[in-house]
Amino acid sequence: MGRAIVITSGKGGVGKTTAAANLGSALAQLGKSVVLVDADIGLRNLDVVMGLENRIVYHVVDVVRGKCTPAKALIKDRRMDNLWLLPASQTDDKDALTPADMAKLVCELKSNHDFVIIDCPAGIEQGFKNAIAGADEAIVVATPEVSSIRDADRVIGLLAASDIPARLIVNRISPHLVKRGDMLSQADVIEILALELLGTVPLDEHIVATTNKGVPAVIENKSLAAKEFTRISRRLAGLDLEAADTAPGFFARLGRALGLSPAPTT
Amino acid sequence: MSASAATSLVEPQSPTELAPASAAEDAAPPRPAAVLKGGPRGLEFLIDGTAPIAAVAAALCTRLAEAPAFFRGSSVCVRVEDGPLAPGCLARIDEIATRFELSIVEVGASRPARPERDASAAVSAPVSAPAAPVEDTATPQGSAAHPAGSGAVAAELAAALPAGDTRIVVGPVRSGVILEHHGNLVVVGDVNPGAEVRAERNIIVLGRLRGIAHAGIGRDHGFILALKLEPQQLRIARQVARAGDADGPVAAAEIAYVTSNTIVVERYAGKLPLGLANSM
Repeated sequence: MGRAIVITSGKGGVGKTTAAANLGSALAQLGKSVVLVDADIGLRNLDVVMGLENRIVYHVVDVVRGKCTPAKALIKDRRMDNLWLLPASQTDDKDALTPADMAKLVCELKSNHDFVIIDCPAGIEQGFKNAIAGADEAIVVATPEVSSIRDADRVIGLLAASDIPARLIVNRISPHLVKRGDMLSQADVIEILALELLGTVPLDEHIVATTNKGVPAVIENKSLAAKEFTRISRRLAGLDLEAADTAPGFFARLGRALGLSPAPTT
Repeated sequence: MSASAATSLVEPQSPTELAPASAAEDAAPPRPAAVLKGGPRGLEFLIDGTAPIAAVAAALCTRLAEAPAFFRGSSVCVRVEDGPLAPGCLARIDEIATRFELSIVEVGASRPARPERDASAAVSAPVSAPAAPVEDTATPQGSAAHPAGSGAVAAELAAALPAGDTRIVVGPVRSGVILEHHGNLVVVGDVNPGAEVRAERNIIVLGRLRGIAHAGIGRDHGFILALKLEPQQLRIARQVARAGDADGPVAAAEIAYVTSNTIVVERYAGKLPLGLANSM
């Protein structure tokens, strides 16, 4: 039985889909069998980011309505043998899915795969409830902006109410801006959200380029962000057992090496 | 005071309270009157509020007697489904708990179904339902939670507890959550921006207060004490104050209270300002 992990944030545009694509691909690179589920019904994105848009025949609503089997709707990634995508539909019917449908579907996918990564839509309405319905655990993505943190805080509360344990990815940290005091630091974000940190992904132009190409950055694995996503996926897979909060993030280590940030007080 | 709250739940049971319950005893309940559940936070008693007292007591005793040594010393949350609890039932449950050497740390309505809870958490208007995921955290000391839907339980507790009873909530209280209590409210942890804590008496935050706090609701005094007082807004009784733009962070604990119709904030020097001690 695999694990179902929902990637959520509350606020839109903080990098949920990019994180889902990269973590899914990185886990597949580690030899795990992974299904990416796009739960953003009506506004599908994950297929575009994965570069699999033109191969969609069936989608998640077809599966739920019994038009096809889950196995038939899964699109196999052309780069890796053990990575699949279940795309969202473009329907504007917000009641096309129910939490019960999703829970059943995710449970079915879990029985055949090591990881089911669910890309959650922005917001806390029906789409969010659907996306978290089948999840065993959650990854909350937050950028170091006040609005993102506020929404993440809200979402963490809702996840706790549903008994879903959550961990944090701080996305798009820019060392220059943090140093100038124009951006909240990783420590500031953790201080407010009080959540276990999985990793800190730096702001990286390379991510923009690879996302537009439809190739997850971890596949080329050249950029700093890609390396961090790979590290996070190793932690998710239980390969790196060091806890995130005792292992400083990339910039904490870099900053300390350069004498910019203080050594941890612990 | 709060430590004694659990013990003060014990009320002498009057025979008149038992009479209607024993009359209904013969009617077989369609579901168990009481269920024991283990949770990450300890033991839970799920009580069917519609069941007669005797049935509840019998069900609890039967389950507890199966493995008294296993349960001994546990903390217990009592959750009432389809309340209200019959008068005197709580005292009976407490008596049973004492007999099996359990300590009741919290009493409240059972958790509503998930969708309902999400919906109620989304309500931003002040509601009587504190839609807080943190609220049902077992509190370290005796305290009583009064979630919505347990009106009669709340009433029974209100009668059993001293007027200024205190609710302890383990934080963080997150954005969007509204915590409300009719006595004193103590948050062990942070109150995050976007969260709101409301109390008819005083509010003490053992952490950072960065949301909205309203103390002394429906009264003319009250105080708000926090280890780090950085609120979006403070409301005490009928006064409102918002954080000044120029206010820098203060390292020390601070206390806010009302004097001559204005909210003043000052460093907390280890004791309450004159005249406030009586408001606890």
